[in-house]
This record gives sequence, C-alpha cells and structure tokens, in this order.
Amino acid sequence: MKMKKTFFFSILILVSVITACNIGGQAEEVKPLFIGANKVFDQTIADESKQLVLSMEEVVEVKGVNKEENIYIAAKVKQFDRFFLDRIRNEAHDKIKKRFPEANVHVSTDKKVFLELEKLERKIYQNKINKENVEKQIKKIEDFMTG
Amino acid sequence: MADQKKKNLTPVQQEYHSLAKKHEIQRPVLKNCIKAFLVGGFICFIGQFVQTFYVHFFEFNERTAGNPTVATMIFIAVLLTGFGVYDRIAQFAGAGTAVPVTGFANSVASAAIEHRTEGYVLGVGGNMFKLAGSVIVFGTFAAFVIAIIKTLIVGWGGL
Repeated sequence: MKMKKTFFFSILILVSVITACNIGGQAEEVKPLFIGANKVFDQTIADESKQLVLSMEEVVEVKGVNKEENIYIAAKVKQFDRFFLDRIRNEAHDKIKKRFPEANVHVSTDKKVFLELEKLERKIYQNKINKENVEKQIKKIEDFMTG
Repeated sequence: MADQKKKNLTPVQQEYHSLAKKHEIQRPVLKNCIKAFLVGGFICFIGQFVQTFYVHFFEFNERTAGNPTVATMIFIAVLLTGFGVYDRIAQFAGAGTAVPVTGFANSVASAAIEHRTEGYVLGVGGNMFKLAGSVIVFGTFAAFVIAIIKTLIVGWGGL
C-alpha cells in the first residue's frame, strides 16, 4: 500500500516537473524596435530584416542593426525549438539574403550577441552614440558571433 | 543468486537464502532516481545561473562562457568537499551529485584529502586520480571510439 502511494506521488511530481516547462514558459512574440532612416547609420535594412526573422514561427524576439550593407541579427528562439538552432540560423540567413542579395548577413542565436545588439540598438535609437563607436561596437559583436 | 551457485548449496542453506531475501530491505530505486533527478537538476540550474552571470557581466558569449562556468562549479565542489558538506549531499542524492562535473571534482579532492598523511608526492600525487583516473580513461576511450564512428559515417557514408 505504501509502495503504491509513493509510486503515485513520484509520478505526480515527475509529470508536473516535466510539463511545467511547457505551460509556464510559453513565450510570446516581442515587437522589435524599429529605428528608421535618420540615425547615424540608415537602419531601414535592419528593420526590415527584423520583421522577416520575426515572422519565423520559432523566433520570439529579435534584435539587430546594420552598418551599410552589413546586417547583424540576433534571434531569441522558443524553448523546444532550440534543438534546431542550426537549421533556424540558416533559414533566417537565407530569408534575409533573399530579400537583400547584396548584403552581408550575420545571424546569431547567441545570448551575448543578443544582449550587445539590444544595447547598441537602443543607443542608436536614442542618438547616444557616434559613428566611430558604432563601428567599434559592431566589431566587438562580430567577434562574439564567430566565438 | 546465480543458478550454478544455487546448486552447490544444501537445502538448508537454500531455505535460509530465501528467508533472508524475504527480510532484506528493498532498495528504493524509484525514490533514489527522483532524488538524483532533482538534486542533479538543481546543480545544473546553478551551473546555468553561473553561465548566465558570465554572459551578462563579462566578455563571454554562450560558447566561451562554458569554460569559466565549469571552473567555477569545480571550485565550489572542491570547497564543499573540503568542508565535508558535499559528502552529505552525495549521501542523499547519489548519482545526482556524481554525474555532473562536480562529482568528478569531488572524487579528485576527496582522494587528495584522504591520502594527505602519506605525503605530498606518493600520497596526494599518487592517489589523487585513483577514482578520477577511470573517468578520464573511459572518457577518452569513449570519445576515441565515437570519433572513429563519426569519421566512418561522415567520410564514407556521405552524411
């Protein structure tokens, strides 16, 4: 009798532990920050790329900037879909490349790249950064992307 | 009890064996599994916390943050082993504390502490990897075998 009870309880705990990830963590899509054209660098390409990447089902949040023809995009991927990060990166890359064939596209799903791009994005948006520093920051982000 | 061995016993001995088996306390396998799952998961949670910390506040990206994270976890585990806390946790959780990298650190540190009285060279140096050595040997060997399999599949299978 006791054995049965403990068994039942353990199954209950196990099920609740496993499924909790699915119920509580279902992330919703976050609207990207659209920066526009009249900043240190024209960000319309990045804005459009963000929209493109966010339209993917697996992506919940996206940050990105561009420096002329170089586009840097970081995406946050839904929990379960993180198993297919490689495929998602390639898909996003192809999507942007199709829209802007001339551009150098850099897509990452790395947390650090995401954080740094978020900071840079906000700075550009608020006009708190000059051209030189943007270039410096982008170089840093590129290093993070390659590891 | 193996069948071959059972034949060699007298009937009285066999009877005794079955009686002893009846009174033997059963190993709570499922309970142990759940304990190991929860405690091991908690250790990994701490590891994830440390990794996120390194990503946020230092110049590491997700991939490079793995190295300092492992170093931190090992450092914490060695400290806890020295204070005698890790043994208590391990007694409770079993495999949950042995499988993550902290278990490896514990096995090295506890062996070093245990054999300190025999001197630093032959005691600590000689016995430090008594337990951890098997992990290294079979870890390397398994990596070797898997690398060969992968080479065969990728190279000749054309995957």
